[in-house]
Order: sequence, then C-alpha cells, then structure tokens
Amino acid sequence: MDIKFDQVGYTYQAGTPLAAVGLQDVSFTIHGGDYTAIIGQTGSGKSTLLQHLNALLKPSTGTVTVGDRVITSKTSNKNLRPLRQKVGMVFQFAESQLFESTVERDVAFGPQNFGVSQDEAFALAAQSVERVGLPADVLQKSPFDLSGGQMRRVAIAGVLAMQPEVLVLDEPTAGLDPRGRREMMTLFARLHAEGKTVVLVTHQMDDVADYADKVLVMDEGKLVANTTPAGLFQNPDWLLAHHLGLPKTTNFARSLQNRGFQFDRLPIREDELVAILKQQLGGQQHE
Amino acid sequence: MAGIIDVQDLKFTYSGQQRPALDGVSLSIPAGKWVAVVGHNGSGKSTLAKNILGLLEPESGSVEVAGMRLTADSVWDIRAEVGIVFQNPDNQFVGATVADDVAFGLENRAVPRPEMLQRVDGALAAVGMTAFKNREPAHLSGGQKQRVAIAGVVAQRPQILILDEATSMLDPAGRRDVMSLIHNLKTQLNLTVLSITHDLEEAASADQIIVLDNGKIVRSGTPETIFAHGSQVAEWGLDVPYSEDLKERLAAAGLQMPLTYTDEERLADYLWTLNSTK
Repeated sequence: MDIKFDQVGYTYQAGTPLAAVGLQDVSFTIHGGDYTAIIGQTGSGKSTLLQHLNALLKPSTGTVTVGDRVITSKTSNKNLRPLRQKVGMVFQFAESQLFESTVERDVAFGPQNFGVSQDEAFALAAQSVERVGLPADVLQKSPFDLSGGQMRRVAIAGVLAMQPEVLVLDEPTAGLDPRGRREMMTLFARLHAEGKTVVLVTHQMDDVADYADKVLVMDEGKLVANTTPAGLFQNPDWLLAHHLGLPKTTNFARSLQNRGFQFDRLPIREDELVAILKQQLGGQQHE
Repeated sequence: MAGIIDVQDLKFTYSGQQRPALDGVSLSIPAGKWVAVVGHNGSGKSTLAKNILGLLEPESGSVEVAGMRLTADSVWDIRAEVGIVFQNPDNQFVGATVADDVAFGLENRAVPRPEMLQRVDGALAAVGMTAFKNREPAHLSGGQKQRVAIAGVVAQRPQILILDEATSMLDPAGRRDVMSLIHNLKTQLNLTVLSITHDLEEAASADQIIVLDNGKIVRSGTPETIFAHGSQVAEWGLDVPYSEDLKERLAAAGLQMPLTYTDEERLADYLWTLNSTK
C-alpha cells in the first residue's frame, strides 16, 4: 500500500487572524514496505505531516492518497475507520494514552473498536503483547503497575493489535534508557522485515543511518529533501544550515578526513567505517 | 570527611518487595561538585534521590545534607537547601502563568510578597525566560518548560540541585540548551549538582560518576576511569561512548588499539598516526 502526497498544504486556524502555515506544497511517495525517516527541527512540520497519514488532519490544499483512499479538504469524517485501521499511529509518549484496568483490555480496545469480537480481540492482544517482548503474565495486570518502558510497549502492542499495514512512529524511543531504546528500535526493524511499512519521526541521526532506507527532511512546513540516508549525510554543511546533525560515524569520519584520511563517500554506519579502516590500515604488521 | 551530602550505609526496601532498593549505599559529595549517578532502570537511582530529600524514609543508615542530619524535624530545613527537577516537564506545573509557577514554592514557604516578586524576576532572568513571564506554561517547548522548572528551584536559593533525568524527554537542541544553562548556574550560584541520568554527555560532564546496580554502588570514579571500561558501561545503563565502541570493533577487526580510555579526538589522532606509519 503506497502513500502519496500531492502538493499538500495545511493551514492551522485557516480564515482567522491566527492562521499559521503548517505544510506548504509537500509532495512525495512512500512505497509499501519502505522504512522512511522524517527529520527536521522542532516546529518544522513533522507532526503536522504525520497527522495527515491517517486523516487526523485533512489537507487544506492538494491530496493525500493512502492505498486506494484519496483525502482532500472535502473528505467527510465518515468512513475513515478502514484507513485508521491500516495506518497505526504510535504517538510520542504513547504510554500516556493507556486507560484500561488491565493490559489485555487496553490492547484489545483498538481491534474491538474496529468491530472485532471480544474473543478475537483478546487473542490479538495476547499475540501483540508477546510481539513487543512482554511476558504473558502482564495481560492481567493494570498497565499502571508497569514501568515506563513496559507501558510504552503496551501502547505499541495496542497499535499492533489493530493489524495495521503502516506503522507511524513519532519519536518512539524518547525518554527511554539506552537498553530500552535499542530493544525498541530492534522491534521496529523486525516488524519492517516482516513486511510492515514504517514511518519514523526522529531526532536521532544514528537511527536514520542505521534503520531507514528513505529520508524526508522538513523545514518550516516545506519538504526540503527526499533522499536516502547515505545521500543525505554526504552534505554536512547543508544539514547544519537546517539545524540537523550527523550520525556519530559520519561525524567521526569527518574528523579523520580533516587529518588527511581519504573517503570516496562519507560512511554513515559504524560497520561501514570499520570495514574502510580495516582495509586502509589492515595491511600493517605489528611488532 | 564532611561533604555537602553524606550518606552512610543507607538501606531502603519498598513495601511488599523482598529485595532492598538500596542496599548499604555510602557516598560523600563535596560542595561545589557535579556528581552523576547512573545505572539501569530499577538500579536504585531515583530511590537514592528520594531518600536524600526525605521523600522516602531509610530503613537504616544515615543521610546528612548541608550539615544537618536528616530526621523528621530537619526534613523541611533540608528541603530548603535542595531543589529537584524531574523528567517530565508537563508533570511539574501548577501555576497559570510562568511567573506564578516560579512563585509557587516561595508562597509555600511564606516568603513576603515584595521579596517573592524580586526573587521570581531574578530566577526568570537567570534562566533566560523573562520574556515569557506572563505566558501559560502549557504553550512552551519542552526545553523552555524545563527552564521554568529550574527557575522555580533557583528562586528557592538552594545549595544543591538534583536532576532526575531532567533532559531525557527533550530533543537534542533542548538537551544541550538545558545542560549549558545548568553549567552556568552551577558556577554563578555555587551549586552542588547531583544528576541522575542515562545521558552520556551529561554523565561525561560530571566531576564524578557513581554507578548503581541492584541497590549497590558498583563503581565510582571520574568519567575517564568509568568510560575506560568500554562496552561494559552499557550494563550500567549508559550508552557506550562512540570512540570506545569503535575502538573495540577495530580491535576485533585485527587492528592494534590503545587500552586506556580514548576520546574521539585522541582516537582520530591515533588512527592518523597508524595510517602515516603503515
């Protein structure tokens, strides 16, 4: 299922003195099965863009096409359910949306909302909880007795239980400790490998380099780059001008470059740099 | 050996738990230092901070803050000397405006109004938020909210600032901004800082790092000595410094690498030397 933005514009509080541009002339295509990162500084329009992916916001101008569903400013709020089932949103600090008395009921809430029977929804809940790496005994616990990291997993299980084709993740690792972050990113990589389309909003350039195959860069409501991570990070000065950083590896490669090392292309992942250095320095014999 | 915070053989167990959350912790923090406490979730970091503030009552052992032994009688005097900033900027606002919020703690302490207004203005100036004085806290960015939370602490004029993962919910720009603010305030106001953190850069900027695991101190030392443990620091809830991780991978690929902690600059120099002498 592809997602296509065609000249999408969005104005907040249109027609009032407080009108503010959220998106301007944004066009791109995300193909089914892609892992796309969306980056840009705070306030650049990333979240506004995300909310168009399942019609939480509708474009003021232009069209958003998700699968065979076309969304324009005229689209009515009726019949959006199938779309919202296909595009699962994991919002920032998703654990703050938990509300049920048990994990099982919380995770089963989504599918039931889409018309799945309770038995089936509970089965999906058990499956999803296992998928996010939580033990089965949490199903009968209150989500509020879990740690912050576990609560975040429950919230993600709640989205997976709706069996979406597209997973939209808004800074899913913010506030987690390093181990929690790593486990979470590995989970998404696995879901992507299993065929889900992943859209990740992040400030972590290492995650862009390590996981994404496409990257969209937003600045002041405009799409300023639509490229691959390897292409994007060849241009450090351009990134700095857009208030964005570099992956740690690229940054380190630059300081090697300043000392005289030669790179055909700046590496973006640590394993690439290790391979290059091994090749350049490896022939040496140690005493 | 009197530090501004002295903890002796502290033990604490949450009710209903078998295993103590703190199991014989002793530490001494000299005035004016920045100490980072690191460790996995559940290692006892926040429990330690809560015991120092008297929010939890130790099972055994003693806590001394700013020369006062922590007891039911001294707890309010101690809290006047210790400010704390928590992780989630949204969970610590009470005021309708930024200025009200900063004034809240002072009102609780019955500071006379003229002095209160003066202190609020001073604190907002110190964190660079004067222009936002009459704004609603809800409409600020994450970094700005943490600045206001810090102003609330600064207004109380404590000697000690505790940061409980205070930057972990911020974006990289917000994080850098809040860290540089705290470094400035520490110098200006002669604060002692105790930061509970998973953030590598925050830990690296401390004078001393204390590693907690299962309620016990398992390591303590300067950032250099702690980071020299390479990828082992991941087991202590920290990110492995990039230079150390790369060094280990290069060593595994057969290159000879230095054994001591090497920051990125030194590693780049070392690799260049290796390249020039091959």
